[in-house]
Amino acid sequence: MIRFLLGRLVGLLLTLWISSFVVFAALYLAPGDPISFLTGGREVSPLTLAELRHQYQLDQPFLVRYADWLGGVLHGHLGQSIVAHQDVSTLIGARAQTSALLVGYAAVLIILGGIAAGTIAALFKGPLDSGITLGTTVGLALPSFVTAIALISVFAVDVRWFPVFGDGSGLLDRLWHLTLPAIALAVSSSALIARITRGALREELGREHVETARSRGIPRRKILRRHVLRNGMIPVTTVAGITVAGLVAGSVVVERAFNLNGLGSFLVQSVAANDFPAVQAVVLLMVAVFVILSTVVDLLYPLIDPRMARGGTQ
Amino acid sequence: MERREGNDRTTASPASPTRRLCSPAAALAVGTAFALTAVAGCASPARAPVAAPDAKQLAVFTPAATHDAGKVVWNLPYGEPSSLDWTKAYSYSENTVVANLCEGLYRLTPDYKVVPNLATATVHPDPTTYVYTIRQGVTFWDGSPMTATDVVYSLSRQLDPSVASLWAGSYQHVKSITKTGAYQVTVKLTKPDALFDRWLATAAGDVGSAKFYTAKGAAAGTPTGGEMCTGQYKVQSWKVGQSVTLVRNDAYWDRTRLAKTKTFEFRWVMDEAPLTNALLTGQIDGTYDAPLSGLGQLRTGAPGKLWLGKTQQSVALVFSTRKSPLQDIRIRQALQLAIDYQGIDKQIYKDTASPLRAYGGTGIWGYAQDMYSAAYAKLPAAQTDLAAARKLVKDAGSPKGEIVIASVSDQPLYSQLATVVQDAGKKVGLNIRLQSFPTSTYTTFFSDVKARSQVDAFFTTNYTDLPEPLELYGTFRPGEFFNFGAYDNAATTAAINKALVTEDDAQRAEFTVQAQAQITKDVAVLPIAEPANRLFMNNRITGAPASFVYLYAPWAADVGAK
Amino acid sequence: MTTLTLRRRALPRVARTDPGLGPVGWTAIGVIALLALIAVLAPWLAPHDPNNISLLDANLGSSGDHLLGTDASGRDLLSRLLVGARSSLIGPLLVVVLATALGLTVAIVSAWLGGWVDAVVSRILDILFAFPGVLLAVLVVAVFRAGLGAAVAALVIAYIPYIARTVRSAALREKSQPYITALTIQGVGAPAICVRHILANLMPLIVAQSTLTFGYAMVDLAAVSFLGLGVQPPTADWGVMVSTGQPSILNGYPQESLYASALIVLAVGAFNILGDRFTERSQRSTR
Repeated sequence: MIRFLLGRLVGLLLTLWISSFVVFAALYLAPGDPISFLTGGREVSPLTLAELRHQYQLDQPFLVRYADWLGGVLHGHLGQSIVAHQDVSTLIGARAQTSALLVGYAAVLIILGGIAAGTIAALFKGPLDSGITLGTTVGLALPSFVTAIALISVFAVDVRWFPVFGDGSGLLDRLWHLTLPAIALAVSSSALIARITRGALREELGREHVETARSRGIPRRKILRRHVLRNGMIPVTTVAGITVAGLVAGSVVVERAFNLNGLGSFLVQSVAANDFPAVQAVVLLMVAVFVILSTVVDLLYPLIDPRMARGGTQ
Repeated sequence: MERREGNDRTTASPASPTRRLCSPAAALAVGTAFALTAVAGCASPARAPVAAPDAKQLAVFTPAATHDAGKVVWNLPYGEPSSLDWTKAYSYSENTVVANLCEGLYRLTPDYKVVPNLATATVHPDPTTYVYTIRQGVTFWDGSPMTATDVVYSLSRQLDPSVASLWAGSYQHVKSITKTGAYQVTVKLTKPDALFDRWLATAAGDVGSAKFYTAKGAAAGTPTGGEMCTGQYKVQSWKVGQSVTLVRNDAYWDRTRLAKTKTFEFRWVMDEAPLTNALLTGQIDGTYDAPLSGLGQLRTGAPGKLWLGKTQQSVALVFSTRKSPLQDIRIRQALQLAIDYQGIDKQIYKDTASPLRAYGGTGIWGYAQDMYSAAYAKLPAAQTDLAAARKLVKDAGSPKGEIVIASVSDQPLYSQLATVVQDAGKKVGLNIRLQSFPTSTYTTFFSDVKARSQVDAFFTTNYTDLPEPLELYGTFRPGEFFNFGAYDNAATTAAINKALVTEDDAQRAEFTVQAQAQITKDVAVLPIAEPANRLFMNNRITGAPASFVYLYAPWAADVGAK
Repeated sequence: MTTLTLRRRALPRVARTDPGLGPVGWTAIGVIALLALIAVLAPWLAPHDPNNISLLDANLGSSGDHLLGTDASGRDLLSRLLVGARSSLIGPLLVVVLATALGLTVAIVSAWLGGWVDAVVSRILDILFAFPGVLLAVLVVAVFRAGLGAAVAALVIAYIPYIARTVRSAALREKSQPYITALTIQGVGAPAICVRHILANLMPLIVAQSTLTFGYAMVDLAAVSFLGLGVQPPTADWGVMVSTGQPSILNGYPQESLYASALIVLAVGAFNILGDRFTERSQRSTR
């Protein structure tokens, strides 16, 4: 167990290090610089320009800047945003909350909605099953921004049940603000989970031991709980875990559509401004969250399926 | 994508405080039923009526607020301010907020007058000396009195390399800033630069507490560092990524100009569709630069009103030095004749822009109105004449070379304009290719010759900080920062040089008008449109100035309930 | 974005008795064929120049001249939708072809060689795997400028690890089959075995994967264009049209966004259904 975790940790660090270098190089090569973005194309005296470039070390060679940045990170400083004149950690902190809440909210919707729909479709053949299957086929093909635009038009502008933008303050208000975005983010993923659930449960239902149990007269409810649901949840957990991990980055589209100040929109803004300390920090955070979440999913296996040996990831 | 230029010399004795002859009530009464919008025409007393038939009638004021609106939520369409330190306030979002917090020696009024503010009097004994008498009884938000020391400190801060003020350019000829009395500050210049004094009406002249800014250092102006000025509002909170909230400074020195509304909260919804939604549903009370794509709804379906105000902005297509058919003046003329200006106004600006006869529009004439107005009326009106355009292209040998025009990928306005220009080119046989760039690359076109050499032409939205046409035309001398196309015409340069040393308004206007005529004739730049200042306020509030003065004038204080 | 690509790994492993593609599968093929035909013939089918703006004819409703009306710039919507089929289908096609070709090569070579090559390749794939696709798109666009090319490049890189991982494990399974050993003993060269046998046997799986990938690539590319980083206006493209039509919805003209969204959903749905059918068949054939 400890070896497994250590291995994952080394992998994570390696991934972060390589990613940071690639991102740094990409932004270094990208045309445009943060100072010209900061001044919006207005005339600035050459002296001021030189001073600003010096303050943010833009006049240093690439490797010196990278080494300097890396040194800072090792000492716990993520650096200063060039555009916002403040520590990147401050900038990210506020936005990470919004993103985490959005992804968490969407994850709950995805898992509850998806499993419920999938289970119903698996257990009740006939029109209910066909309806859900049709729904998931359409849902799976729905891009999140299309859902977002539809939701805004109907629920925020026409009937005005929900606010059209912003992240709110206080937990309840925030959830209120994030409801439409979370639904937009969840629709296609819950369709996926529903299909996986339906498929997995149908497969379990057709297994020999289930048939045997049924012929023995064990109550259906009990069979479902003990055998079908438990075993059927294994593939569902894997997919759900990875799907949720992917939402962290995928939420950018929804954040944009709802004008939320989350990590995704911050990333797009920072790249547009060539504000590399900010971009670096967001990228590293997203990569780390993804790796950690997928590790957690791996760790969850043995809990659901006692037969699985630990460390089994295939 | 705006510009300013700091080299002209104008007399800048601040005018005496102007009475608002054009009262808000009058503004309503004069309101003309132009198109679908409620546009209130209100010429300021000192001005002759605008004599450009193709220009729209634009408002300056909106009806005055009668009482406290409690809390107003206002939008910043250009995003979260990067700093609230006035030395870093050099663009829309920052200036829109800072203008309400920190004040300078002078103040701009909505009708573009410069009036005394933290200085009560200015003496200009010789061309290189300015002596300012500092107002007594002014206090910072923390209650400490503002003194000459604070003024000297604040102005000197603009020259401090460690501060790296973006406004340092306007202080380029400053030799010394000294305290010459308990309430007197003297500024000496290395050479005459009358515009220096004028800049003090912008954020370049703001004054803050010496003690506070010395203590805060680089943290000043950030969400954690804060600021300490004398304005009608002070910062209550800045929630990073969310909102900036201002609260009324109840101890403001001028009791007659106390802020109407207790709390002012700034949000930043940058995309047009969500912003329109937020305005329609009343989640945001008001905004400048109301979203173009939402104007239809804001005019008819919104619980509020769209105001079209006087502007200092103009949109133009500027040329780089890259080799292309555009280097031939006939091709530039042809393109100018091919563009559908009416369509641009109707469809892109939704009836809120006027066609331009020259680079500078009708809103930037801060003096010598009649002269500028008469000269402007003499220039040919912007209109479409495809036959003439085709003939010009033919005369130029029907060049087949590709013309690359840049647009900004994340700003729909420029893609739309670029599409119209491409279409115009196509109609007269010009081969135009559009290329879009992210904002970060696009902004480098303004500062970097090599960057802009990737394209033949690109769009700019300019504004003059001060109502001074020379600010625009002064850039057409060889070697100027904003002379993108390396335009070099002896007559133009001579006229500008003369204007820059002429202190008399009428005479300076005459030289400027000469330069304007030559530049326009040479199509050194292709003026596209003068977009009116679009202000939206919902029915709950009123009072914000309709003119483009919100970058430097304390406008929020006028906003309140009807 | 990454989430979408993940789905491939997690298809329902149901292998019921399935007589061929079934009516639904054939309908999906019909839809895809129709869309492809439209894309090919678009310039001849379009009644108007899709980029011909006429600012005075903006937001017209359906009429004889403009069957589906016009957009906010007065361009003919039907023509834009027809011509938009091109960039909307070519983008995903490029992504699928390139990502599959690269992923496949990497996977088979590393599975065949094994040892340190395999270890290094797996490591690199892990790193790529952890890199969110949207992030890649944003970065690639920052370096190379917004456009279909940059967006495609980003998605190719983002998709490779998913394709390579699946193919690699399948190839490893295949490699351990006795007939491969037999071939090796007979002296058949490695490239020949890889191409003629391993690749050939993996073909059903690859086809199924590619079909599904097409649907995801389409959604992802449309999302990138929605963010303003992909296909650039004025080029007609469904993803761009959803986004540019958004303001018109408020003004009471939802046509542009609506039609473009419907076409995206139709195309993606068809590819998803077909991909599922192919997957079922490939799984049946390997069982």
